[in-house]
Amino acid sequence: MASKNELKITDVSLNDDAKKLGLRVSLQNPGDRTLHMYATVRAIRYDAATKTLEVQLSDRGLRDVRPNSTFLHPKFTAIDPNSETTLELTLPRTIARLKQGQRLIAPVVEELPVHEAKNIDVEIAYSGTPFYRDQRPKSGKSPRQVMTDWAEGLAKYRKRLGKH
Amino acid sequence: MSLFITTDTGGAGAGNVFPMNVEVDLFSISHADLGDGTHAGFGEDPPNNNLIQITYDRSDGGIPATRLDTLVNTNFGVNANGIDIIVIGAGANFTLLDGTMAAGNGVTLPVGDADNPTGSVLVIYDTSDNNGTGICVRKQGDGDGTYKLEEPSSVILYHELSHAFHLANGDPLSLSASGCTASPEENRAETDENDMRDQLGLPHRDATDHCGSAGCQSSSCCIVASVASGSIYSDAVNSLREVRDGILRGSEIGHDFFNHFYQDYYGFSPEVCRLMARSPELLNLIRVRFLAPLTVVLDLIRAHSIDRLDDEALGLRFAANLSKESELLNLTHSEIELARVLLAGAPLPDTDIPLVTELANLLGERAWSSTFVKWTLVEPIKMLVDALSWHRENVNLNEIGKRLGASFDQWSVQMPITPVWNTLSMYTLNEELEFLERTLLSTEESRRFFGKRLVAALPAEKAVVVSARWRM
Repeated sequence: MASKNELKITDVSLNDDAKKLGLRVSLQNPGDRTLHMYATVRAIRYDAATKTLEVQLSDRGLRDVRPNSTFLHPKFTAIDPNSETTLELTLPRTIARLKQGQRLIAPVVEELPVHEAKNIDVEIAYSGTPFYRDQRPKSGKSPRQVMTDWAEGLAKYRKRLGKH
Repeated sequence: MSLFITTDTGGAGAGNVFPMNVEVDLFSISHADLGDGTHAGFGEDPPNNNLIQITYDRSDGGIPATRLDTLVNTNFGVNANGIDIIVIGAGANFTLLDGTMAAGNGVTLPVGDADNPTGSVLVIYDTSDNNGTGICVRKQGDGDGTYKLEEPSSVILYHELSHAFHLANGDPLSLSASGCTASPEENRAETDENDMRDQLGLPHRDATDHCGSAGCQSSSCCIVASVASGSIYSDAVNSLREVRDGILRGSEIGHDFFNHFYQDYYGFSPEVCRLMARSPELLNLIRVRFLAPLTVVLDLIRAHSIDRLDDEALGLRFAANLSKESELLNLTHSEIELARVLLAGAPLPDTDIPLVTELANLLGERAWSSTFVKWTLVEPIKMLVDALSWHRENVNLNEIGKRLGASFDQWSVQMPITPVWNTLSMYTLNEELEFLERTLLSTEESRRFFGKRLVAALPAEKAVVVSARWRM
């Protein structure tokens, strides 16, 4: 009897080459079934107070901001049964977002120094089956909901970073 | 006063917003309108308070230019400052408040939205072409579920300006939609977007579809077939994809059926691909003895159950398919028998095909125990293998058509019934029954037989619907 599908993150490392950050995620599939997982970063958050960087390769909890031009599906990759692999991702050294406010005349952009992160949280959505888009005209779910429902599990990993 | 661009002159904007890119895209929307002797064309005022106001005295008669003219020269009254719409040209590092990456997308935020700190309608769109990867959407007329059509940044901006126009004008449509179907508001913006595509000489986007992908790609399908045929675009894979996406997965029961099928199929199929990678002979066996029969039999099932071909026409269709699949036609008796043995999970005869024993063991352990795999793959291939044997025995085509039709009817009524049947509303239940009548259960007898199984699986109030519809 096959064990429950479980993707494990065994390590993460962050390399700063002064232009971009290289995130290397080491993964393990201890089960006897190929697992399919996100290969696209869907969200990055940085808490300057705790210097914690969150890198999310899932659609969990993300807001459906609408209207928009397209719902972009993530890219996927697969990990063989009983094997290990690494996911190489490129992150910006800083992230930009709008400062919160109310009815400002002009928006103000704030920049967050992601490269100063001392802690990192990584989350990856995975499933035992590949993702196929829903062909039903009336599924009753938003595309984001379809994505979150696809995920059979979320592999999570937290690490205190050394000097990078 | 109406349309403005955020500059990078203040705060942390430098290097994070790209007003020049927005200007270029707006200029493209104006159809490079530099004016004529009478009209000044596209222009801009000097930056003020981190905003650049766009000016436009139009000399171009095109639809995008006319829309831009309206956006620039209308006082929509969104706020007392007269700054109705602000556009931010984002880079690949731009995120919304929840961390969602702006790369590859555009959003239009009404006043009061949690992500909009201004008193204006705010457009944020990616000017980095998804960090160089590009964005692709569905092309009008493509029914194969692939994203092949590029979405340049000027098209994204024009799309968002459609939303901005209607938000500023106070007449946005509903955003309610499910799956990848475009909501009424998105459908309108995508229809508008196609005007910009016309101006750029690009094909139209399918305005009913709102999904896309990073980079142009094909919808994945059927990994064993893709590997065995050598391409995800091969005729075999295209025909399997068409049956899957064009017919079956569009219904509730088809969608749920495939969810169950995938659960089992992907439990063994990647390993089959690994075996094929190590043995070209095995790859050839799977391509000729499994994939080719499956492709042919699905075409024949469709001809019988949807197109309702009679016995003679079905026999002729079988012959026509064989003439296209010469390798199938040339299979020897022992080659056909090996396929039959593999499908049955019976002990293998002596064979010199490398890794065929491993394949047999894998299929025996993980594939053939699945009712979904059996019904979807094994039984259809077996039916075609039977027909090949009849053909070798010189049975006439009319008789082969008759036997195949009978086999299809016997097979169709054995479709596994998944739990989703119990969750359907009465209305949807009727729709699904009608779907089965059109696609799978072509005779009254087959409906009654399948209906009996369904009645046994459904609660009484739903069983009545089935009994009444199929006069059981």
